[in-house]
Amino acid sequence: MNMVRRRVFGALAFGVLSASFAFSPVAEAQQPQGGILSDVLKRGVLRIATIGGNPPYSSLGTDGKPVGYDIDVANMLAEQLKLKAEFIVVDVPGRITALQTRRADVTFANFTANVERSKVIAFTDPYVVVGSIYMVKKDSPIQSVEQLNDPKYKIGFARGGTAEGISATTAPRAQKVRFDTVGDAYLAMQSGQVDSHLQDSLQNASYVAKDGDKYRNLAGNWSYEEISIGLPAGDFDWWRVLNIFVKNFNASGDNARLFKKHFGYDLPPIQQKY
Amino acid sequence: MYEFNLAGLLPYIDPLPRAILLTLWLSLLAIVMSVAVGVFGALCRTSTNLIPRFLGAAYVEVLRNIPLLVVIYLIFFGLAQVGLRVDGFNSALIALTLNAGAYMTEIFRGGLLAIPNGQYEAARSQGMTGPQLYRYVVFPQVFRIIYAPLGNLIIGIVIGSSLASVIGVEEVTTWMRRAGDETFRYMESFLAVGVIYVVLAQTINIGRIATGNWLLSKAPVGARR
Repeated sequence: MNMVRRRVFGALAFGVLSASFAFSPVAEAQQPQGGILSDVLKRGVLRIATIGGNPPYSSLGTDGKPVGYDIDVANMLAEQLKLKAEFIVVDVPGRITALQTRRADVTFANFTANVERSKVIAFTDPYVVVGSIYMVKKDSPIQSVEQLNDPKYKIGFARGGTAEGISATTAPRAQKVRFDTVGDAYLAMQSGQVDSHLQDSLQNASYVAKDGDKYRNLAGNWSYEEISIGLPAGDFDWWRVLNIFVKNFNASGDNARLFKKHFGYDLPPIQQKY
Repeated sequence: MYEFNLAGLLPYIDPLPRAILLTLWLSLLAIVMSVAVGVFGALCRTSTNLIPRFLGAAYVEVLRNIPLLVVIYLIFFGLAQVGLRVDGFNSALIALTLNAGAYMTEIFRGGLLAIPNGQYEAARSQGMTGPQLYRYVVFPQVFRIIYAPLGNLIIGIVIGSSLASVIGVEEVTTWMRRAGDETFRYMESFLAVGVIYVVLAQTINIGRIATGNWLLSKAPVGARR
């Protein structure tokens, strides 16, 4: 009996503890917003959320520091604002959480602007436009996405990204296997743990350039995604500054130069004809 | 701007029972298999023969010092790269068993070592055979000694099974991350799953206590306390 009572007490103590953890960020989020622009200028540091394992956008270099196209773009922003750049490496869904919890001032991470995410965070205009492509091993029996849409095949992708919705509409019957990073999902296809990797079309181009003898794409581009800078919702001044940066970055040729440096080919058009 | 709202998770409630069952199944299988590994490992480690003693010690020291996550990656990705493809569930099960088996070995070994040598000699002098000696003298006592530390490890296995989410096993943690990712309600999904793990771990733990009481009631009178 005594043991049972102690057990119940332990469970209660856990509940109280986790509840106190649960509610402290709530209180933080309800504080009046001081304005991110003035905050970062006062701090002198720009806190940038990014992801690892997602080359050539962003990945961790041999010294553990993030490198890649998104990192260079973020550094350029920090430089123009005369701030010190501080990178926070998060996972794919962490790109949103880092902004929601105000751990980061911006997110640079192959980050697609969409309506769903815009309910909780904000986006600038795009600096790259991408699609989504299914990649398979060269000797795979799968020839089309139609054929891939079968419960006997597995599709791998990084959780928390747009691949979740795209795979659900384009291959609803296939099994989905979710990984922590794009790199893990690619590795899973390489090692045969999944049959196909659903990936960003520009990333796909660089994978094809590198490993084109081992893998091939299934026909079709399954999304239109505007890659943008993410920022916390509700701060017009901060959005204004970032959007001017994006416009200048696109117009000045800096974007074209950085893109070519990391992807190895020319930046595809950002303006879409509808 | 942010308001705590558990109801935000409701659209994701359908796949939850399946995810809970998978966590439970993975944990139970890992517990049963690691107990088997542990008993065998402990018998090796306490053997009078040098070779099994060395192999047992090597197994424990290597597996106890590699993080479970690394073992999972090794089996799922590493083995697949050399051509041996083990699916997500089985990779996690093998990794959990290997990891927990090392700890089980130490727990069972501790139990075996607590039995004084004199008891073996006394049992032999009464004409007991090897299996009889273990069945009637050694194991009933060992069981009582390892009963409590076993509980800790069992909870550890249930909690450790959450790492299966990194290789896409659709258990509770995967559910939590998906529900969080799609509703942006991380606090709610993390908290809900925290509570689920407490309930799961305690359910299995109560099962352990009940099994223990039952086994002890079967033990010879002298071994009860």
